[in-house]
This record gives sequence, C-alpha cells and structure tokens, in this order.
Amino acid sequence: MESLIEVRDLRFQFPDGTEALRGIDFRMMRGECVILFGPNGSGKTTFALHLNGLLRGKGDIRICGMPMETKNLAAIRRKVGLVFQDPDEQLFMPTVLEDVAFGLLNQGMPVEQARKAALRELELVGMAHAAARAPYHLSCGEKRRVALAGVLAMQPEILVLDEPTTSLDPPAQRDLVDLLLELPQVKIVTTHDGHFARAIGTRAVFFREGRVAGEGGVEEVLRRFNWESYATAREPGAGGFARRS
Amino acid sequence: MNRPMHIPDGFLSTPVWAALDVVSVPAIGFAARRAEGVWEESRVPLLGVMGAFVFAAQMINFPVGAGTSGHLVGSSLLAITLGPAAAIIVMTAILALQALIFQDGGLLALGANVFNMGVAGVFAGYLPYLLWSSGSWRRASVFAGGLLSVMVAASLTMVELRISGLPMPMAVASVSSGLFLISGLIEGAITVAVVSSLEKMNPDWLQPAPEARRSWGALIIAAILLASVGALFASALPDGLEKLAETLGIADRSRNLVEAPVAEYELRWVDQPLMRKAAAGLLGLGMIYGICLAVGRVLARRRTV
Amino acid sequence: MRHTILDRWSAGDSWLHRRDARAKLGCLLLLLAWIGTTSPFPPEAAAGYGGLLLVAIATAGLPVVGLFGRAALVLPFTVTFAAIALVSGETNRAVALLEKSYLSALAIATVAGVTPMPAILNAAEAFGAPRILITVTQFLYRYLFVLVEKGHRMKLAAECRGGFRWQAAGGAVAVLFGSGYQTAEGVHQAMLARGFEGKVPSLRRTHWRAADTMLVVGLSLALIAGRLAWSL
Repeated sequence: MESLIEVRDLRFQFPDGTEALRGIDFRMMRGECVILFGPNGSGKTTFALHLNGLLRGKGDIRICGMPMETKNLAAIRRKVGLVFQDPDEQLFMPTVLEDVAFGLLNQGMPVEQARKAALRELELVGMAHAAARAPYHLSCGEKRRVALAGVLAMQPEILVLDEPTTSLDPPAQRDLVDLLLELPQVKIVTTHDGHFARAIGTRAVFFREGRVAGEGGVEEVLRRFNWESYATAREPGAGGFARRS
Repeated sequence: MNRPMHIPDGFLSTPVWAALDVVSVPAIGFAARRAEGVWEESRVPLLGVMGAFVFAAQMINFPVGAGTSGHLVGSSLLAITLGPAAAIIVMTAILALQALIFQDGGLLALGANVFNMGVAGVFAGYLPYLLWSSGSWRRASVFAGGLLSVMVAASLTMVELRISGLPMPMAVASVSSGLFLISGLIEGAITVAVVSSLEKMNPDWLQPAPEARRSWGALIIAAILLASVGALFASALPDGLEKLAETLGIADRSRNLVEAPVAEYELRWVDQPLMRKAAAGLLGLGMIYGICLAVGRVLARRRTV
Repeated sequence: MRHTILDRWSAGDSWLHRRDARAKLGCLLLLLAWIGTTSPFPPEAAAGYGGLLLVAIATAGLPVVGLFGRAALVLPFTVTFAAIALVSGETNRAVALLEKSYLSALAIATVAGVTPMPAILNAAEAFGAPRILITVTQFLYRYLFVLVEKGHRMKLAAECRGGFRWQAAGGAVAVLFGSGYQTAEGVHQAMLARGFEGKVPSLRRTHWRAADTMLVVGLSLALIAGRLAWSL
C-alpha cells in the first residue's frame, strides 16, 4: 500500500539559527489519524507547516508521491488542507461564505459554482445559517467550524489540524470529534488534549526538541511520556509546572 | 487630549472641499500605484492590519501629567514603518472608515481630511526621517516627524476653515496654535517611545534609513512650499486673507445675507496687534521648518559624498 | 465596540437594504452635496432634509433614536465652532454649521446602516477607488475588532496595575504592532495554504435593478423640487 506522506530526515532551522527540526522521519498511510504530542516549541507546528510547503527545510518530503518542489506546490496544497491554530488568521474574508469560497475561487471555479459549493461545505459543518455574517461575530467554536469548511471545500486528501480544540467548550469539542470522525480524509492533529486524542487518534508521535522521541498507540504514548493533564489521575511525583529531571 | 481634527461636512465652503477632493484623488492614485509596486497583493493584508493597529494603539494612554493622557495619532509612525506611499493608503482607509462608521469627519470633506492628515501629515512625518534618520540625529528625526505631522495637518485644517469663512477670533487662533504645538510635542514624544520599543523588538519593522534620493527631491521642495504657503496664508496678510477669500468668492456668502446688526464687528478684530503676533508666530514656525529642511538636505548630501 | 452595531443594522431586509450599493452611495454623495450647497440654510431646509432621512430610516426598519443619536457624535466638534461663530456675531452661520454637519452625519449613518461594509467597498471600487485602497480597507475592517479588543484588554490589564507609565505605554503599542505583524503573517500563510494566486477573489455580484434607478431619480427630483420651491 502506498504511503500518502513520506518524510525522511527533515531538518529545519529558523533564520535566527534555532534548530526547530533535527531529522524527522514520518510516514502516513490511508485511514490513519496521527496525533502529534509534545511540549510547546518541540517542533509539532513547524513540522505541520512543512507538509504543505509553507516552510521548506532540508530532507525528503513526498505528498501522495509528489516530491516537495516549487513546481508541485500548487498541487500539494490541494492535497493537504491545513487548519491553523488561530481561526482569526484563517478567516480573513469579509463574510463567512466568501472565506469558504476563497480556495475554490483561487482554483478558477466560476463564481456561481463556488458559491454553491461553499454553501454545501457550510451545511456539512452546520454553519450555513451564518453564510452572510462577518467572521468576528462568531464564537470560537463557530469560527473553527467555518475554517474547517474552508479547507474541506478544496477537497483535500490529507487534513492537518493545529491544536483544534483550543478555547472550545466541551459541547463544541464533542461536535468537533463527531465531525472529524465522519470525514474520510486522513488526519494529522497536533494537540495537548489527551481525551480528544483518544477519541479520534489511531496512532501517536511524540516530539521533543525537534526530534521524534517515540511513537505508538495513543494510549501507549500518553502513558509512556506521562502526557495527561490535571483532569485525570496522574502519577505522584510526576511534576506539574516543574521541569522533570 | 490630542485628538486630531477631522473636519465634518458642512464646515468647508464648496470651492474649498471640492478643490481638496480634486487634489486628493490623483494623490491617492499616485500613492496607490507606488504602493502596489512595493507591496505584492498577498502582503497587502498587512497594511489593513496596520490600519487596525492604529485604532488599537489609540486606546493606550500615555500619561502626560495632571491626570490627562495623550494618544498616538500615527501618521508619522505609519510613514516610518511602512513607507510614505503605503502610509498614505492606510491613512486614507482609516479616515474613510472613521467617516463612514464613526461619524468622525465628513465624506465630502474626506478629500480635505485625507490631504491634511493622509498626505501632508504623512510627508511631514516622513521628511525628517528621510533626511536625518541614519545618524546620531535619529531620535530627533523621529520626534520631529511626529511633531511636524500633527502641526502641518492642524495648520492646514485651520487655514481651510478660515478661507471657508469660519470666524476665528485671535483668541481662538492663538489658543488653537498653542494646543496644536502641545499635541505635536506629545505625538513626537509618543512616536519616539514607540519607535525605540519597535527597534528593540525587531529593527526590520522600520524603513531602512534612506539616502536622500533625487526622485523625492521634488516632493521635498513641494513640502517646503506647502509649509511656507501655509504659514504665509495664516500670517503675513491677516486682512488680506479675508479679502482674498471674498475676492475669489470662496468664502461662504451666507455671511453677507445675515441681518445681524453686528456684521462689522468681526472686521475690527483683525486689525488688533495680538492677531498679528500670533500670525508672526506661525510665520516664524514656517521659517524654522524651512531652515531645518534646508540644513538637513545639506547634511544628507554631505554624508553621501 | 460601537461599529459592530452597524453590521447588525445593515444585515436587515428592507426596500432600502435591497438597493444596489452603488445607487445608495451615489444618493448619499448627492444628498451631502445638496446639503452642503444649501446657502442660506433656513429652518425649512433642515426640516426637509431631516424629514427625508427620517422616512428613510423608518422604511428601513432602523431604530430612529439610535441613528439620530449616532449622528450626534459630530456635535462636540460642531458645538465648539458654532459657539465661536455665535460669539463673533454670526448667528446664522452658527446655526447653519450645526444643522449642516448634523444632517450630513445622519445621512452617512443612515446609508451605512442599510449597506453592509463589503457592499460599500464594492461601490467605492465601482466609483473608481484604487484596488489596493479597497483591499486595505477591507482587511482593516475585518481586523479592527480583533486588534482593538486586544488593545482594550492591554489597557485594562495595565489599569489593574496602576496604569501605564510612558515607556511601558510605548512598549504596549509596540506589542500591538508586533501582534498585527504576526496576525498578518498568519493571514499570509493561510492565503498561500489555500492556493492564493496573486489576487484576492470576490464573490460579489451586483445587479442594477429598475428600483435602483427609481431611487436615484426619485431622490434627485425631490431635491430639485425642494430647492425650486424654496427659491420661489
């Protein structure tokens, strides 16, 4: 079976010299939902930004067989849909409908067709009623759903979601889980939320300091790296804000 | 406290607002073409966000003393960070939205407000930076930019109101001039504080200290002319100003249709010596400004040799 | 944030709401020019213009008090100059200043209350405003709330700790600036991620209908008739 994503020895350095990624190997097959765990600054988001070519590092990346090269970027960006952490940065058009249609119009779809397709995507995420509204009037959960619709409209094969449950209240979190479980795309999700990860993940990868420190099943990784929040029982002496030695 | 004056509709006489609308249109068009050359379309959202930043920045209080506070006006800061062409566009967007959604400034008067604050204010704010920012005079150039952007905009506003026939007793004129000066000083100081913080956070955010370029030379001269003409209008010919306005027919005629018995009263105050003193003060300011520019140009040329 | 109420008002559905934004903007400019060139300014003129706007506000289903109150935002500035004119003996001018500026502000607020901002920008572009200016204004409007909220929170946080001192205030403004840059960078990435090709696309479609012509012609006739009647 062919892999959808193939990453070999990915290295990336920021302009100021910080080494963000120090040799990442990663592989993704059909039907997977991979959770990326790790401390802040460990390279999860940086890695995600490499998957659609927003950042370009050293090493080998192949998306659906296409190598990450400038000439393939447009095609790759149609395959990989990236939902950013801050929905305000993602919903930049004056109305919800225009934002969802953005990607379609960029692809050259005629206006009427794009309008209809965008409306369909909004119905899928349950936000069709807000089509004519301005994004900043929406709640955080509503914004995230619209952002997802905008990405889904481009019919990607791979969905990458960066901390999608931030600021969501429990009902909105449940809605997001239900929605994601219905979607056929393979998913890569960065998150700190263990419960969310258990609900949707098929496997997990733990990042530390720009490297993959371990991988395996979601439960296995959570336990091995003691990656639970206070909401559940944790091992005594594991340390809260204090650094583990 | 140092709220800039946006002229509402109904204040300027028709020839004045119409003329300023006509003048602003090509100015904005020119700035737009220049800005489009510098900022590719995917970077244009930044300019919009910077416009929003100006509104946000105006919420921050700078303590001035005695319980009052000053706020950033922003035209010189925009020029120093985005360059004058983009700054003009951002200021125009700001002023248009202020007129439409905050009822701050008129729509017919938008040309006048854009000219005063968006064009003249931006140039006056950028000029000292253009001339003196690469050197030990950097802080002074930023301060001067803030000061001049406010003063030039305010002076132009006053001139436009005067030649529209708005009564301006010398008491009001001198108090206003004093207030503009204070506002300008506050803006200069605030701009310096912000720019020094920006430099610490990321020096790339500021326009590189440019060499005085010949292509801007014409604009520098235009700016000097503007300052001198402005000072001249408001000063050397106090009676002449009104007579000139009436001769040109641009003063609002409604005054002559007034049945009020005290119509002659307003002509008497113009001859008072205090008005001439205030006028002379403005002329002096204009001259100082012109001298500073001339000296700056000489210095700039020296550095490139 | 006060401007969000305009979003609510302009999202309504009335005859005026449904009119093409170009017609409404054209009418607004015509009305403003008419008000501006009405010289002298007798009470009948004020009543006429005010009545016209009142009818527009009522038929649009907008709150009368809300709109008349919004127009009053011009008053602080105007009252100052009107007082000066009064003291200088020009009573008529003082009154004219107040009336003209108030009615103009009311006209602008009314049109803004029945036309969503994206439509206004569209009309402005049709009238010849440069593309870059429209895009900048569009994004300014989009992120106005976001950044002002942030500025407001920073101000509150500072007030909890005794208010800003000078250097700290400069730093706060710089942080807002940086936050703007960060947001813009995020927008840039989000645009690229969804295949941005070099031009911000638009879903806008405008239809000029007979009713729009009626609006423009109707208003023009009313204004001309009014001026003729007064000069008789």
